[in-house]
Amino acid sequence: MKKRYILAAALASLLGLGTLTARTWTSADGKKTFKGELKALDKAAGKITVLLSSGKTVSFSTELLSDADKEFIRENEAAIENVGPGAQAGGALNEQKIGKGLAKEGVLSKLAGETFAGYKLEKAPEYYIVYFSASW
Amino acid sequence: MWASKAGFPWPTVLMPEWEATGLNAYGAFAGEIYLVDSSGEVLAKTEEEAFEKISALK
Repeated sequence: MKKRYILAAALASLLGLGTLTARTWTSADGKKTFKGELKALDKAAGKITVLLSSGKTVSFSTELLSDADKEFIRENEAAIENVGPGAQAGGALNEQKIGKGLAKEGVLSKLAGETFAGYKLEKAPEYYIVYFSASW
Repeated sequence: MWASKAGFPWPTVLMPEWEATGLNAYGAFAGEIYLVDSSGEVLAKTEEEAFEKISALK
């Protein structure tokens, strides 16, 4: 029998995370492009971490990117650093009406390969896009 | 798993935790997209409205 379960919501993410950091990246020589969501910036090491559309996360030097991508990172580095793993949600989520529920231990999951794994927000978003979904 | 095939990329609340999040209070149906601010106020109730609002906020 097919297992029935319902996905209730999600996305979550700070407005900037979804719209600002998802883009098509181009290699420094302009020959390759790939789509991915910027997850973190390590300014000191000159590296970024990108979540590819395949679900794989990769980290690499910003020197491998096109000038346009480097400019994009420079222009948006403050916002980008705020969505990185170093950013702490701290008690900020608990001060939000919607964040309070999402900050509870074990309520958020994220797809990791073929299964859902526990997930914690790394920042308290200012806005949430909530997609209500169901499947059975 | 269908979610894997769909490339479900977002933090997700599964059914057992649904009520604990308080998201059930919005009374939304499957397929709906809400834009909600940190105070819990619903700013938009359709995908089109949500992304229009997001563009205005940027």
